[in-house]
Amino acid sequence: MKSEYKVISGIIEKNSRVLDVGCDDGTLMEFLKNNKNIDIRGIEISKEKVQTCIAKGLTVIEGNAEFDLKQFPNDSFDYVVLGQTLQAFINPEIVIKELLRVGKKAVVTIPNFGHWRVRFNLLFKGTMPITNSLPNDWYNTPNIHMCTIKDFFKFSKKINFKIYKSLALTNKNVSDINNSNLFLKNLFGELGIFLIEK
Amino acid sequence: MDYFDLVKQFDGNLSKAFEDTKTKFFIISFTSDWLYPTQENKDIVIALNAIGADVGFIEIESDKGHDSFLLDVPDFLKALKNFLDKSYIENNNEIRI
Repeated sequence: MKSEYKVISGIIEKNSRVLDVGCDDGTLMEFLKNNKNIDIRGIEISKEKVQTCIAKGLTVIEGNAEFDLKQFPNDSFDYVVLGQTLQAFINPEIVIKELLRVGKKAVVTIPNFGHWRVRFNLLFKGTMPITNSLPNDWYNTPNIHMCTIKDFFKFSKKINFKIYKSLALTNKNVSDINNSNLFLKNLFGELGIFLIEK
Repeated sequence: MDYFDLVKQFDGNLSKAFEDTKTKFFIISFTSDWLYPTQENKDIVIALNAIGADVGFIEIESDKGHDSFLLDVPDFLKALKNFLDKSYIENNNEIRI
């Protein structure tokens, strides 16, 4: 399983109610259900992946996170998970607000555009960066709102949500992000993982 | 069929019709079904989510209209089979415990 999923699973408490937004093929959902006794639901936009989830016995709703989160009442879930999709939304601000309305807490992960390889790419090649976590060309990428770990901190102040836990993931190494190491984590972290609350 | 209105007896609130349910729901709609269009099926999903019910949803692409559910639509049959198989296994495990 992806190390990202292991970190997310470590953040989420046992026996809670969780919504996985953009749940993909249900790998994380299955893990949380079996290992942490989580009452888990998913939303997924791809019909094919919804089928995969159904075949795994997972409860998934086919839908678009940008529009279909409004069907859930306030605080329906203890956690809402959004794995590496914030940058693909037309309006990430509304999505974050919706996550925190539907869930008491949210776990958000972002591919870090501040990673040195991305910067190196742009600086020396002069073309839009293509890396392991960002494999697409500029014209076919779903990622229309890329941000860095540092940007996410600024974003939290701008639209007023609290970051309770912030972790940087590089290869398989996880480390805490704090004020004093933010510059380095923003340069070497491939992925930012955040536990946030209203 | 068009005269049947479940919400009538529940003050226009569909969620109330399912209150305290322990059922596992799976709502399936078809793109070409004009009798029960996807949006109306989504309304059921919304009503069930409002009371925290266990509800899944998929829209199946089909050009066979309302009768799609009676005909050979592979995506539909696959989804239905997998849902029933998994739910049966889960249920049986619970009974054994």
